[in-house]
Amino acid sequence: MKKLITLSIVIMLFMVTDALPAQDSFKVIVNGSNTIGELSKNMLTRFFTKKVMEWDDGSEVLPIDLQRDSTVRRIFTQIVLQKDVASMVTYWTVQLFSGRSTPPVELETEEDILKYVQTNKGAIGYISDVTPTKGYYVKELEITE
Amino acid sequence: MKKKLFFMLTISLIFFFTAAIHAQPVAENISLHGFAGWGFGITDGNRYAYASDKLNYDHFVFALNLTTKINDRITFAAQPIWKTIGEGNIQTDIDYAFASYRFGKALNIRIGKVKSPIGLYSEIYNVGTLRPFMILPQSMYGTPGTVQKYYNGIGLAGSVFIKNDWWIDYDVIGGQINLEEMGSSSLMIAPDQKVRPIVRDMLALRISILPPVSSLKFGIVGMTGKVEYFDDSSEIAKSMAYGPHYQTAGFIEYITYRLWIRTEYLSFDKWDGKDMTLNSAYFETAVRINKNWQLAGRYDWLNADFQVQGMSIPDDVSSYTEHAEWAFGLNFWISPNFVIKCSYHQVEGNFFANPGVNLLEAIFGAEYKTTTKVILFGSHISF
Repeated sequence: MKKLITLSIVIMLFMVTDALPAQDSFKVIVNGSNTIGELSKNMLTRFFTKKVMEWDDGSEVLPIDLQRDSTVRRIFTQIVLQKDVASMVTYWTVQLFSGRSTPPVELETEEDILKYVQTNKGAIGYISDVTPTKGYYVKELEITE
Repeated sequence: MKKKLFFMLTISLIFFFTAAIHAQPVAENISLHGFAGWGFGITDGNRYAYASDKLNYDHFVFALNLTTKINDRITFAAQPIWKTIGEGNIQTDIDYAFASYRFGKALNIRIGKVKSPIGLYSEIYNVGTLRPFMILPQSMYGTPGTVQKYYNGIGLAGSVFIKNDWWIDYDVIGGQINLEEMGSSSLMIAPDQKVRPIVRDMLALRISILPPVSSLKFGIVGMTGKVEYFDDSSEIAKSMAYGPHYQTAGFIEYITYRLWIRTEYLSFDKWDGKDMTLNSAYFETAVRINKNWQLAGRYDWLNADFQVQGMSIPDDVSSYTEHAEWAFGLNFWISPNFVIKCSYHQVEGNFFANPGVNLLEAIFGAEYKTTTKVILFGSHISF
């Protein structure tokens, strides 16, 4: 019985520490023509896990990721998706090989993200909150709980 | 032999060179991925999974996964697979090939030869980088078994969002499942039999509940269908299960980078009367010690109750209806997509561990081992 309690505590510790949050330092952007002004973290999770694939107007949601080693992606994944990047890689491997969905396209730089979002109406991406968006046809979204 | 060696070298080179490539589309609307695995194993006597008492290096699997987005609502996915069966034979197959159409925000319809959602592993049957051991839990995914990797038919899949960040994923599927040929099973009544079961008129529902605790999901599965056989199957073995059956299952999964926990329970029974009852369950976990090393453990259990041509299995050969396995593994992850695995398995029972003595011979007094010790070694990669 003692062993079972110890094992349960160890497993709980792993579960709790896996969900530790990080600092807020990103902003979410959509195409400048998108009528939406704010999104909840919950809705962002649905978009970035492709659980929801349409905007309210029926157009396709196109989530875009930065590369796996990006600090901004790590923070975004921890705060919004409440997972680490490696767990999301596992999630997408399951989705991919089960034939259910394909992972978001990964782009190399924040400039690539800005260009992609600017040219694709349904695109949604994230960049560092200090990266300027001036000169791009994109809109910053307010993130709500 | 040269042809086989050339094939295996070519495949190996492909997957070693692609190991460093992250998942990326090859063109705007086409993505190409794949996975491969190779392994060998040895036992202290009985044959178990791909291992026997002689070292055999032939266990190999390679698959390519192609997804084409035809437009923003229609996609087509296919997965050809090459794998060794028996000693030295390479089998080519299509794991799945189906079209998917998206209705609205969160509902898909899939038609064709579709990955089965019945078990936690059934959709990712051969993808070794998503499991902690070289082999899947045999109690649910071994041969014979009704948890298969695909069905021919039509399926609906979607998500329903409920309050407080909870959501429900559901799958409703209908069609036919062709089960694995039971040629290598110790349940063979006599040698050289061929048993190829089918589950016709299959209807199944899976409901997965995803609570706000990230990475956790749990759910239930129900399936019903008529067990039948292809014409070339043995008449004797057909008598073990025939006609309308149902299957119920439950599962819990918690998957993060550091900790994997999966457990499933399954019960298989007949609607009317009794011919074969199966109950199986497993619990497995894997813990990352650091970036490279991972420890894994599993307990796997199955109990069957069946009759052959109306006669029950005698108690003194009851090991043919049982399976209990402890397994411990140590894995070394070279990268998130490439792993080397080593595991030790102790198996009680002969439902899956084949002693080379068929059931009829055992009933008539032939000697056989009921305990099997197994060491498996190998590697898996996905890209």
